[in-house]
Amino acid sequence: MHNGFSLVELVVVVFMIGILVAMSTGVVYFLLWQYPESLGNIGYINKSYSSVANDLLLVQYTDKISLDEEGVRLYYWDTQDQRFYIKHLSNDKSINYLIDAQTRSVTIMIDNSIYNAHALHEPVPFPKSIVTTPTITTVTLLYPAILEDTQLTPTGTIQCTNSFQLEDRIACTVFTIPTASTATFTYTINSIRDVNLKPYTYPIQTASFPNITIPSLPTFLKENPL
Amino acid sequence: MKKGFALLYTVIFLVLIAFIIGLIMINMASMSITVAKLPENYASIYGNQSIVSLGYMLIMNNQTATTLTYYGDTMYSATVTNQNTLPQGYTLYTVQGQYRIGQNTGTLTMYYLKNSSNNIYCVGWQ
Repeated sequence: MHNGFSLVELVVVVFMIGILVAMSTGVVYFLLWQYPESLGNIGYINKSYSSVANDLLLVQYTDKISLDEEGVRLYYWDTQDQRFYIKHLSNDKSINYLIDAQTRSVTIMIDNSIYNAHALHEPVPFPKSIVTTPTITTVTLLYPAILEDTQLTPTGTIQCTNSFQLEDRIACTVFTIPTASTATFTYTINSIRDVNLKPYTYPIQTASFPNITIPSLPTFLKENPL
Repeated sequence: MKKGFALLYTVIFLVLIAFIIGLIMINMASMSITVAKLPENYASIYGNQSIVSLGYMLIMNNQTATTLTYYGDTMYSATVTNQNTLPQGYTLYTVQGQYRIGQNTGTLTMYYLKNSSNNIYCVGWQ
């Protein structure tokens, strides 16, 4: 070539300039449009997945699930403190929650993956301890009960002596029933409901009952008392 | 002049290649962290659920210990460590459970209450 470049050199230079333009376009495209979905979100995505694992564990411990203005609210009863503690799921915008309050299960959908956890124990309103005097028998419950439709058969009145407000209902932790003439006489408690309104019916005698001891809640669940 | 020109392009070319390979590697690394994170934690969630269910089966069948093994790398076991007979037909069981799912292991202590109707309820675990 008369200007000093050979044809081969010119082709190579044009080829390299073409590659440089293509690469630059690719890098700019990556940084502008792909970056926010990948590199820029590493910490965010990992935080979301960490939240999922934490949420699933919280669900396994829970006694009751409901919704409030802060998201998914979880209740934890401590049998030793005799009170509820509450927590909320992470409410992460990248996570979809599907809640079944009746079965106390939560399904979590994130990045096309589905994870599920359910509560592992039953908040049964069975006696924790029974103390009897000649006229009145005091029953402390293992988990709180809703006594709205509860009846004592064959006859007698259930009187709640320790209660608290649980959303729109009154939950009872201690109640009294009349002491029967003999310790072997058996009452039946009908339709005593747990905090999820699941009904139970069970026999009860007005005789002393030792205190059932189950462990206290883990510390990380006891940050926010109801 | 021509050699310097070609050398400049070659250097720029190599730097860009290295830069892009670096970006791809960082991106792949971040994906592997993301993918690996949850299943490891989820193993403990799934292990807890399986062990509690195994405890129910153990008590229902009046056994004191049982172990289930799947595919060589998944194992669940439960053992009744204490059985306390209470008045009015209640029995409180303390069950020790263990799981191994791949490299993940865990131990639970579970408490079950059986009433006079032979209904069994897990009432607590830790």
